[in-house]
Amino acid sequence: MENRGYVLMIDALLALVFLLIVVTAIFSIEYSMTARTGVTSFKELHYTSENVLSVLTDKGTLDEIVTLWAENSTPGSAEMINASNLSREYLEKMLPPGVGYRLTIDDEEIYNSTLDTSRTSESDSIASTHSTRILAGYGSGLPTLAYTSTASLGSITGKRGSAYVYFGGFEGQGNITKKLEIEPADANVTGAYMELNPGANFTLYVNGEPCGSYAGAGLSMSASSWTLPCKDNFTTGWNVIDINFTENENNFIGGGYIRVDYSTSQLQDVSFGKLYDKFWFPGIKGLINIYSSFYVPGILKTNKGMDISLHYKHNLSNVSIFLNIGGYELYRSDAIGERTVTLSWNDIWKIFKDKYYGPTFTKDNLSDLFSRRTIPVKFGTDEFYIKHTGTGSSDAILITDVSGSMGWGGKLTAAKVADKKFVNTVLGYPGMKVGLVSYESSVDDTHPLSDDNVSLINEIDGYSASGCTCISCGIQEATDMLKEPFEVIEDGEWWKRERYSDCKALVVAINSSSGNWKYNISVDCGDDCDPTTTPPSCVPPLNPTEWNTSGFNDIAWASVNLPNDNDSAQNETRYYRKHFTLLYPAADDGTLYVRNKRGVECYLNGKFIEKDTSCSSGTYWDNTWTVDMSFFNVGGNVLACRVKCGEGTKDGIRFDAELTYPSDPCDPTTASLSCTPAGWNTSGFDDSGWANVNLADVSDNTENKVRYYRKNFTVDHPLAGDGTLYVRNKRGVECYLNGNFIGKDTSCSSGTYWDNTWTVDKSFFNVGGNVLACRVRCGEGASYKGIRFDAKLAYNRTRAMLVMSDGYANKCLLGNVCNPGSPPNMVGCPNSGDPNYPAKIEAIDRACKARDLYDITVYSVGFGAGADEITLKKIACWDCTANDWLPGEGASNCSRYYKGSTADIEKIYEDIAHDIAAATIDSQQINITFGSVSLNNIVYYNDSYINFEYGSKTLPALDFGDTLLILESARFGNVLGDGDFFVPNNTRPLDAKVISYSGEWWTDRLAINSSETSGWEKAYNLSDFGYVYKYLGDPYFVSINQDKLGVIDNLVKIGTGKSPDEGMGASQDDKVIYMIAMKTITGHGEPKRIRGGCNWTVEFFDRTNATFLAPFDYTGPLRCSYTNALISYDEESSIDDAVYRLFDFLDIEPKDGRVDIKFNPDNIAISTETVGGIRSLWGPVMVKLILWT
Amino acid sequence: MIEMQNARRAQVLSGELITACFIFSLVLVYVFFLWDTTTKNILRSEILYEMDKLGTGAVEKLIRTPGYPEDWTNKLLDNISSMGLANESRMLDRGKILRFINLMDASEYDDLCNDALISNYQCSKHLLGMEKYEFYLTMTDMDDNILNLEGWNCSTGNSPVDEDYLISIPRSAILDDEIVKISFVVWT
Repeated sequence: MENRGYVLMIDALLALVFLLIVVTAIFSIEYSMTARTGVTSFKELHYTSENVLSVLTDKGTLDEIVTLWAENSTPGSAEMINASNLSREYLEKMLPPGVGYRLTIDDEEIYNSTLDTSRTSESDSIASTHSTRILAGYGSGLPTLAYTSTASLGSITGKRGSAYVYFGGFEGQGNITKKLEIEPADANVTGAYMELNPGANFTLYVNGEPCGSYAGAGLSMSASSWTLPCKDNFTTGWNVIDINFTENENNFIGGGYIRVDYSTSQLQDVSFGKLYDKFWFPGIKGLINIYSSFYVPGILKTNKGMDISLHYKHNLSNVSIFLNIGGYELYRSDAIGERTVTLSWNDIWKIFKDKYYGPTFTKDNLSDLFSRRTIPVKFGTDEFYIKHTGTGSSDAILITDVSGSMGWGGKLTAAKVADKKFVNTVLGYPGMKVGLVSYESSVDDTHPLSDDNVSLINEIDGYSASGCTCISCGIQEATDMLKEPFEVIEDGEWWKRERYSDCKALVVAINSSSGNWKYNISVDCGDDCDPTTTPPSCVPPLNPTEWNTSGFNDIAWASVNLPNDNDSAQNETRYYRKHFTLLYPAADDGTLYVRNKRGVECYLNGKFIEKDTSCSSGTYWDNTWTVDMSFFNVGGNVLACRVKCGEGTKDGIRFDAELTYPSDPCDPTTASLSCTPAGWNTSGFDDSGWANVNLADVSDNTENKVRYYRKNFTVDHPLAGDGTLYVRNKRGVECYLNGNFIGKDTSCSSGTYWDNTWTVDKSFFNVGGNVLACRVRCGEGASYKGIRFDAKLAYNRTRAMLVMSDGYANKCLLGNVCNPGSPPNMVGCPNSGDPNYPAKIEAIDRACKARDLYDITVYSVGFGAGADEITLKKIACWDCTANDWLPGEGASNCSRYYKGSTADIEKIYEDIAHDIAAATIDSQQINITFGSVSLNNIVYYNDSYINFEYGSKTLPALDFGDTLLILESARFGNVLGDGDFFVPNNTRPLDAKVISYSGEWWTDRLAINSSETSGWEKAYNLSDFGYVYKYLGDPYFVSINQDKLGVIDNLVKIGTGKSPDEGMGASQDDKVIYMIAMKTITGHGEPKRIRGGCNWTVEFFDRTNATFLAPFDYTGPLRCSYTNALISYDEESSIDDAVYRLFDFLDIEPKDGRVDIKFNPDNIAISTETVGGIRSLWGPVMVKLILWT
Repeated sequence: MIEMQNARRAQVLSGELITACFIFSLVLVYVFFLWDTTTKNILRSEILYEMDKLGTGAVEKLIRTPGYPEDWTNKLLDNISSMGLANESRMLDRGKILRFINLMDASEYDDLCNDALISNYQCSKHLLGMEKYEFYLTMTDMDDNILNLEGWNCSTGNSPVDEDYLISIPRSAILDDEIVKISFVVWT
């Protein structure tokens, strides 16, 4: 039975398990299948919330609700109640019955349906979801509608503008008439300014009315400037300006401009962007001699790009008038009488085609030649010799063939006459020197370079003919005479000198018993003498890691004078800091002397020097420590010491210190101030009280001295190349030319001729007075004492030689006999080892060396029918390295070779003499003293012009809201031609004219380095138009194409020259006149809470102030300011914000709180445009709709 | 001893057998009942799930899309991929609503499916993906009044009659700057 019972129980259990499995399986299946209905319900709930929120958003209802909330989100406020009611109004109707809901904005509850019993309470919810929307432009408690404004200088009644008329690089010679157009019809002239290099005194007339008299300055690389007193004489439209010289000579303008400033209501310049322009020639009553230029900003039209009209009266017989544009002579005539010449585009093209380029030359080619370039223009005559206006700097050697053949046919006699003519002509130019070489089989005789024409002519009179023809002998001798540089200061001359003694090398940086130490005391620091054991218990506890550094702030510490003694001090730690300044670096380790009764440790600029932890006596000096030279700073230094005492036998403080260091005994720059007279190296320093001393100054035993030497000398012409300074200095030396550092030698050298040879930049030299100043220093002891000083300053003058021969070179430098071969089949020179190196080749080779090694210009003259023309041409025009003719030269057109006979050799020599002189004093002024020219013989009327028509493709353009601003850079202020002009970031450069006062020379190069260029790029090169400048125009200004102009810094480098190879520096008065486009309208700014307005005070760039109302009808009390001292305005006001942004625009960088366009508030209106009702940019806020069932 | 054992065994077997059979019968009946109930629930859930899924898809398509092509109102079925009543999401187009409502009236419009045997309602169901079920759409204003557009009440489809299953999918949208409520009923 018991067993059966068990069986039954097992059966029941099995049945029960089976039953449970079945039931569970059924319910599982049901649950899994029906649970999806729950998911469906949730999904539908979420669909509903998304749908409702989207519809409310689209309908704008949500915006209304959020707007109410934004206006006042305080619970219980009217706005919140309205928001709640509005929410319920819509949601109750849109949501299915029974669905509970809650609407929140940024988690602030707007409405909750919990109180509605017909809807499920949130606490009873079984499913919940929510949808959100992000709305921008709202913020709690912030307005939802705002204002934004623009401000502009549009609709103005006044703006500053300027009209310019430029003079060419040289315009003369005679009374000059220019035309200036003031384009705006409503222009009100506010001022007139003139900047010129006038050759002579003149009276200015404007529209026939006198406008003052002005002083001339001769032809120079500088400008004078005046504010014209006759601004009221200028009118709108064309103005005629007459410059009537009051003297007969120097009637020219060497560059410059007249500017008329005016105000106008026209924001945009009338003529800007026009597709045509005219270059107006000046009217000249006198001799027509114009060196100028024009610039075409666009691409010349190929069907009608340019035409020329010339109108002049010419009454000089056998004198030609010519027009050269860009190196091409387009017109030449010697016709007498009044002439009107017109050259059409077609005529010009034909000239180019027929005369220069041939039949394949097209009008497109012609357009390319003149488009977007500064084109030099020369209009005048070349029939007169160039007149010097300054002093020359040429040395010329006249090489005369006195071989036996010269004795035939009167050639030697004619040569002597020509030689004398040459000598007199060259020496007719002040500053020139001539030397003589006569040759036959060898050098026959010489005369050194001299300006003594009597001596030179005597030498010429002594010439006699004999021997062979060693042309190379003459060239070599002349080269030897020319190659030595010209010594402007020779060694052994008299100088001014001043001596300073006791300039010993040891410098006391801190004297003993010195004052003004900073110090601090800590007490309760323990009973010992070791300053490094200062315990934390010290009061006050000074930071041990900083008190000794140079940067530690000890300003609050007390000051004390050393010695600082207190014998009763106990358990103290005292900190001492001494500030001192070093002008020069230490030459070696220094020495610190310390008096310390008890313990001490010291630091220099935070670097540990030494410590003494013993309890010593307190005497001078308890310790002498070496200070590493590297611890010293040039400039500020701090010596910091910490002193420690204990009690009893360890008590008491006695502290003093002295610090010394050696300076470099041979470095003149480390001479103490007491040995340095201020300004000793400048040209303006007064050395009249100094002693005169003849160099070499030798004082071999003097010690610790500094000697100053100054030497005055004059240079009468700009240098063609750098100079060289030779210095003998036993010890250290440094030298300056007119305050410009040349070089220094800090070594202790030997004192020989010459210890140093330094290059002196040619720009350091002044035309006129110069001062070379040197400082010499010696130390003490055998290795350092003693002074030996001498100096020599030299520079290379322009050099030339004239080689004349009547036959073939038949004698070489070496050897004793004339070459036995017959011309032209000579054999090689002796010892040359080359049968193909006969005497004529040697002569050519020597000429090349003279030119290549010493920059000597070689002229040659073939005298008579027997001259070896080809050899003489090569002597003048051959490039031995390239084994070809020099560029631009050839057998048929060697420019420095002349063929003469007894009949014309004198004239040829005279021409060459002028040419050599002109190489250094080449002037754009024509010598009207030659010939019979009077100022009334030629008249050039001011209705002559060159007219251009071009396309707009490359033209700078203005954008909407732009206005033009013409700016002038500062004068470059240097003779190197280095300048810059600044284009602010929020502007665009449109045009730039680099003006150049070239004086006697030609403005021949310009480079620019800007953000739009790849480093330095060429903007202009006169040699692109020709190598012989005298036939080319001389630009007064060189324009730079807009595509090369950048923002911020634009660096330019302009130069003048008398030839492509001879740069002549630049004027200090050069500058840039440039045009920028500036935005005068601001965009809509950030939305602001209020429209606003203000009474503004604005400061202009010239530091004047103006006040005005913005808007004009503003009557409120608020004051705003845009000045250097204060920029303040209501940032929440849209109008104020717009005005501020406009001023910020107009305050071009560097922004200094001063508006860079000056306007008259009485004549200008700040227009503001305010737009209300826009969404502000607060927020966003999150709107959330929560639903549940 | 043997007899006693047999007699006792018979008694036990009969009583236990009856009891066992009774219990087994009860369990069997319960299981069958349970199975039937469960299968019905499952079937109902499946149908409702599918109706909701299809209905939601259809109504969302109607109120949130313009249909494809957008000018489907001028097309026949072959050229219509989808019907939608909106220009923008939830911004309904009056013309499309009218077209949709009147699709059931072949006299008013052309035969959508171009087949006399197939009603426009059937065609609409096809385009809405509702072939298996009936639908009925009504549009009301916020106060639950049936909209009337140009004389037409905005209700369309097959009104529920003797339905076995029915679900209503409520939506709202905007028509002519006014919020309208849409009830899309799916039934079978």
